Amino acid sequence: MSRKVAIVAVAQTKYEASNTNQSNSELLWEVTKKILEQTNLKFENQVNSGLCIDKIIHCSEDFWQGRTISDLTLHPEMGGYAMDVIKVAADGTQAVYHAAMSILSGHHDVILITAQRKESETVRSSIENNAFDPIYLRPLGFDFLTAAALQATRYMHTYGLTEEHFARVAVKNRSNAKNNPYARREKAITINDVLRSKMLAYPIKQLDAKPVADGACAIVVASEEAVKKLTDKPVWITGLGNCYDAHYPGDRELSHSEALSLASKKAYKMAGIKNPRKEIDLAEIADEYSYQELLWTEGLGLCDEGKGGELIESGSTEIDGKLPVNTAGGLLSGLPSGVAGMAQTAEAFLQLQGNAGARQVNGAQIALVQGTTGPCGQSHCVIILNRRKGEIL
Amino acid sequence: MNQKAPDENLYVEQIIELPFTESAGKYISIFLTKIRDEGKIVANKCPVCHRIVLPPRIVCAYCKVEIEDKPENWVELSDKGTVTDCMGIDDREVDAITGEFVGTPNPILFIRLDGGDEWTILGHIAKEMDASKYPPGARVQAVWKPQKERQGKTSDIQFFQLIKE
Amino acid sequence: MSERIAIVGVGQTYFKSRRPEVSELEMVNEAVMAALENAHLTIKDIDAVVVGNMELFEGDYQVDMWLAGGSGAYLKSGFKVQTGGSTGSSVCCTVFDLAATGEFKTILGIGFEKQDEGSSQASLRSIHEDVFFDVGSSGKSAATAVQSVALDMMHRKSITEEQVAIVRVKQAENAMRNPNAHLRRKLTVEEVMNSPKLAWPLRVFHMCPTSVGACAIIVAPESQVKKISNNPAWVADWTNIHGAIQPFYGSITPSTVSTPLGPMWAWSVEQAANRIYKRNGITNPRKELDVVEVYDMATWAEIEWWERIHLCERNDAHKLVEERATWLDGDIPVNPSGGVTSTNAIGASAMQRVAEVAIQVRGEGSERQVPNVKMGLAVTAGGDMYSAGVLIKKSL
Repeated sequence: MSRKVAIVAVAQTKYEASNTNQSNSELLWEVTKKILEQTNLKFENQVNSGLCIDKIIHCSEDFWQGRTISDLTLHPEMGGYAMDVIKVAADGTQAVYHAAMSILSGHHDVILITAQRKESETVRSSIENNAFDPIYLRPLGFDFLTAAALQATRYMHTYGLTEEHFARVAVKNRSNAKNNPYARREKAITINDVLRSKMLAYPIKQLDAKPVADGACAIVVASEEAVKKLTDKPVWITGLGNCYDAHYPGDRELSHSEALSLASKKAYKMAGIKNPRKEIDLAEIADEYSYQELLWTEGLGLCDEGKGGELIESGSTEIDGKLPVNTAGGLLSGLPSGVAGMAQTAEAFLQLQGNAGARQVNGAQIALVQGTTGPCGQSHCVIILNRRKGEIL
Repeated sequence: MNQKAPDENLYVEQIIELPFTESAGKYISIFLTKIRDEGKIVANKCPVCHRIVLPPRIVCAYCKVEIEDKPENWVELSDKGTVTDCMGIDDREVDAITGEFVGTPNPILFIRLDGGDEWTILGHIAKEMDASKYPPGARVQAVWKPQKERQGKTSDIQFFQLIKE
Repeated sequence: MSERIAIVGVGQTYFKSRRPEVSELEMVNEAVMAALENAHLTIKDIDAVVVGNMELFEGDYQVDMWLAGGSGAYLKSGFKVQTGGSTGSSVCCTVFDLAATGEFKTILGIGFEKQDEGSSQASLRSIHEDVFFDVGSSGKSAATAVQSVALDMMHRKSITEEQVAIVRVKQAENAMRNPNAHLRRKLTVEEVMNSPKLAWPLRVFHMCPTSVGACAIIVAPESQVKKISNNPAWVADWTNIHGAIQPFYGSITPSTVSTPLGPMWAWSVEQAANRIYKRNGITNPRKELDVVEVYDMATWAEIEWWERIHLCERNDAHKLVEERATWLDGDIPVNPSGGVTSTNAIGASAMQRVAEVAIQVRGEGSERQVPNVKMGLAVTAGGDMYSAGVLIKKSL
């Protein structure tokens, strides 16, 4: 009999521009505590047998914590003592991917996934520059912003998209954020606000870029057997796929996300999705920079290549549209990198549970979550969630 | 076209600087403020297993429950204690960039502070360089910097010295 | 669909202090090519690549991205994991989980370190120097960690200094039979006992080197193993266990201090072994296991692990020396590879423990092959107190 895996609980902190009240560990404990209260779960070392959390997957990166072994100071706050603990150093979607695979392997039954990051404690570009090849690319002074600017320019050139198309994404997502109790409180913005905001690296302006954020998120995934004992509203993970692209931007056609296309195909196949545009009810897409929402939507096959501009103009990705994207506001409304993929998975979960409050997409059955790690979206991870149990192939 | 590999190995040099401003959070802020302003060391106590946790933490690592910030969960410790481990450093570390010695040459002490339990251990340094003077069981006491020099770090205590009791 | 899994290929680079003639990418590629050759596969046959590396050491953020061209990850699945010293075994456990799903035909796991490129001391200081606890954290944390274990062993009369030197000579002898090992030089007991003191009773010759190199394993689910390999090393069980009751916030040094549970770093090794034994019905490890690989960041650590994984009773490690039981020709050979004391490229080290057991089970140990290996155990350790246990069998 094939194994199945579902998300049974999520927890988030408020995402803030600068959280100086809590240390990293106190921030992490907030979500672990919420999960333990929601689920009444104990850890494997605390029970003789039966239902328990039997693995912890933490998502964080050394460079962002400023220490080698980034979760070193955080283990008590994730309940790490005497547990099987591992750390995924990538976007949160990869941690969810790992957890789901570990359940499907038959080797674990209930996994707690945690992620926290306080971007306000450091300087993004000083970290991101080191993601590039040290010989050819790093000395050019790249960070993810300037690499993204390169990609956005290429995208515009190839398909004729405009800064205004990108601005519409930012306006949409910031508007969606107003109904997300965890999002930063910011005033609504207009297309003109975006176009007039400070230019960071052409064509990316201040309001086209993900702002710095602090926050944490935790998710529990469980096997079919365990799910029965934990919730009557599980959301099943029916599709999983991830893929790497080449590292050097010159080796890639930046306006086409080959890796995302392959990752999504794996996920769709596993989930039995033949026509994603029809079958997917909502999508959480990693919009670290506004153009990326459109580029990744194309890579996911949710619209034709080069048609991202038409897509955003059509309004079909608005919260009341045919395929709402980033119902909670996405990264553009302030999600810490790393945590972002987890937060977006949490939003998709809440939507499918029917617990998304004022931002609820009615009747949503199937959701897609996409996250990315590496410069210009070098690697992607795609997760398909379904209110109904699927058949894992 | 076959080319002979170059005889020299080429390098690209880089010094990576990552600036951080780390928030102490509530519990460590309380701990450090007490050190700075009152010259006192405080720990907190797990409501379930009653371990006395130093430095104070929001969660008991063993029980995995919150140690709430309530008066009954805070414990004031003595600045006297018993040595559990002493480690002499025979080979000092050198900073890769400045070439200077890192830290202090003093032996590292682990001290079970009075008022705590077997889990309540503070790491610090010994006054004297001879590690053999601080065997397990030795009694020591903190020597504090004058209050106006204290900054809210464990270096507000200069070192621990042997005491006779 | 959950499947049984096997290691079908193992590859390593040569391990040295420095490899200035290759970039990290080229070095990782060497291990990948060696593993593919060993498995009689090409990169086309690989579906996923999992990488493990302590990236701050080399100063490469998201290093798996840069390496995509050399690791084989281009257009394939994968991600990066890391757990400090046990990174290599965490990569193995991740690869094992992925393989057991049956979703992939083969998976490549890579662990590596190229510490000559960065300052590992500066990186280690990022953990044993704490922002708030700025006193009492200087010095080499690995050495002081081992020192406290060593002092305890002498106090309990588990072992004498001379016996430790004898074991060090064994480790060197094994390493000399391992062409990939780093430190391959015949040692004498006198040389070891007279080597400079690092943190007494720990001496320089007891301590692992800083090595540069990469290790790779290829794992497949049972349904694929039949097609790929006629000499699989079946992974019967794997587990990780973490010892995090750290008294301190950031500094790793205090976490190795004697807590009421002992040094947590040693505690986790014992727990990992116990769990493997319990889950697999092993009641007499010395008799039932044919070979063991442990993570010995120093000679003292290897000996402590003999007790912790119950190859002998507590305090009886000296008996294993007197009987030469853990020697290559003994009844329970430990670390035929020469161990971490001979080769320590951190990201690779924990994986090499698993890899060596697989090599032994597959009969590919050549000069260091232990005869008739049916079942072997790899137990890893490392800052930060993660330990993994992996049980490998010739047949399930």
